[in-house]
Amino acid sequence: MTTITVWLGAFITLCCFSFLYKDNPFYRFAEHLFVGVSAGYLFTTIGFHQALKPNLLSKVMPATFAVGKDAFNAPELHLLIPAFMGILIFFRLSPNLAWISRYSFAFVMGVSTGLAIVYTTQTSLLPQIKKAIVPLFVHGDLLASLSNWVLVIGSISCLFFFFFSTEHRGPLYGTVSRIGIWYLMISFGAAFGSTVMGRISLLIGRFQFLLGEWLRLL
Amino acid sequence: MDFLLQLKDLDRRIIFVFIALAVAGPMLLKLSFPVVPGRPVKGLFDQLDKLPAGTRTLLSFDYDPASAPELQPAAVAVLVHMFRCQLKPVCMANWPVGGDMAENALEQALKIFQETPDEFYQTMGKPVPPTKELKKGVDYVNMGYKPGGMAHIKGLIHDYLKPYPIDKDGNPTGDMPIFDLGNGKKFTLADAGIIMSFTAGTGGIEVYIGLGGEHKRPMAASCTSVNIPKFYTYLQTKQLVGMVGGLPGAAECESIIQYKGPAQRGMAPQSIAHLVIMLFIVVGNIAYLYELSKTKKA
Repeated sequence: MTTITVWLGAFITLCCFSFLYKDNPFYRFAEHLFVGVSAGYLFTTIGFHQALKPNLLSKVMPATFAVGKDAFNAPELHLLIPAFMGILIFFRLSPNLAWISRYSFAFVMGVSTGLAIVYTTQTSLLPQIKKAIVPLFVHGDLLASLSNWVLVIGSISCLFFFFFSTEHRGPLYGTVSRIGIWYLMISFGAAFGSTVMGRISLLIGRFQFLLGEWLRLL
Repeated sequence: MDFLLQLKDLDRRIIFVFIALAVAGPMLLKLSFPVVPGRPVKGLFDQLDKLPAGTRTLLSFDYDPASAPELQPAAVAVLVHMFRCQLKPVCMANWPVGGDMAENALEQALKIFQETPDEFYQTMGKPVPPTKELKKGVDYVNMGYKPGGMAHIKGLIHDYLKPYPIDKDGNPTGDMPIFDLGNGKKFTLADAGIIMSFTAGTGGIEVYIGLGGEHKRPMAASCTSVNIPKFYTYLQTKQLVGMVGGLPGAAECESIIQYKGPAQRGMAPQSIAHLVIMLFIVVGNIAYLYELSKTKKA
């Protein structure tokens, strides 16, 4: 990195860190700069050059936009249909004509939901259920037996907890759902620990930049 | 003991100072803690070692600079290992800036690969690569970003190059030797020796797992720390052959490839910062219990 970009990066980082003291104009400057640069970069460099040009323009008008032997391909005019549907989404910007964009959104929602339901069931839900059906006594392996007991009790008790048609009371239902709460608490603890670890890792990354690349103390 | 009650109203900025010192201190003192690779990371590298030289591997860079401190060191380490094993990484992205992340990781990995002495390969029992001057489009490629998520990946199963007429730099992909299988067949997702995603959130490895029944390839993930508990379930069901979890996972990768990078250097600050946070949690709880006992007495 050049000296200017390192100093600029350090300045923006310190602007962001200044929010830890309190909200201030430096932080807001960095925030607005980030939003503006991200939007501009996404729409021009990425959106146009990595999606719109190679996947639409170079196929509809290959002689003008395609490179290499693709320039001699026949135009794929059927791609104008999804292009037209994409243009309809821009009607969201007009309060009176926003309803037109719903046709495109309906298509996107339908395809996404259909794909997600099928694949989530096939590859997440069913394998997880299959893996939860385990032998409770593994011959000669006490640790595996214990692990399977923990898994089965945890799966059943958590499912009990999320069954809200009956009040969580009584020796069976109350006890099992209470065990479910304990399992959930442990999982929340694991999630919290992982989140803290992640945030500290990000801070380490910034400090490595500030102390290393900027101040050259490392 | 009223000191404990005062701690309950501790200004959060004092806590920030403690955390900053806990992170910066070990860095400046150059503290170093040992890193021992765990089973999930070893599983990934064992799988890579099994692949024959010349195998194409698919790496999906599904993150942006916000998650780079956690995922970039792992990406670099995995790419270095692939180059040393003479594998051919095909990089792509489901996140808009993922293509740029891949470019940066490739640049760093190539530098480390070129600096690897021949003795390293002898001690590891691996053949020395015939050349250290790897070429884009021949030994590796960066395809850049494409929108579409699951619908896009589904298309790659039947014809990988259809949505990628050009790579990230604008070079036509049709004639690239990396995609020439030698049998005249189109390159598809099923031709990849392993599929790995560096996942920061949605649109990452779960999309590939979702379509796993169709491409039937071994998969691995490198994820941010926040996602570790969620992704462990995929390891348990053996839908993933390996996983690199957050910065500690990346440090384990660096330990395997014998390179002391930012992840390994970050383990001492990480551990000290965790100790400080634990200390605050314990002291906070003691203060809470003390206040509770005082209220009951009153």
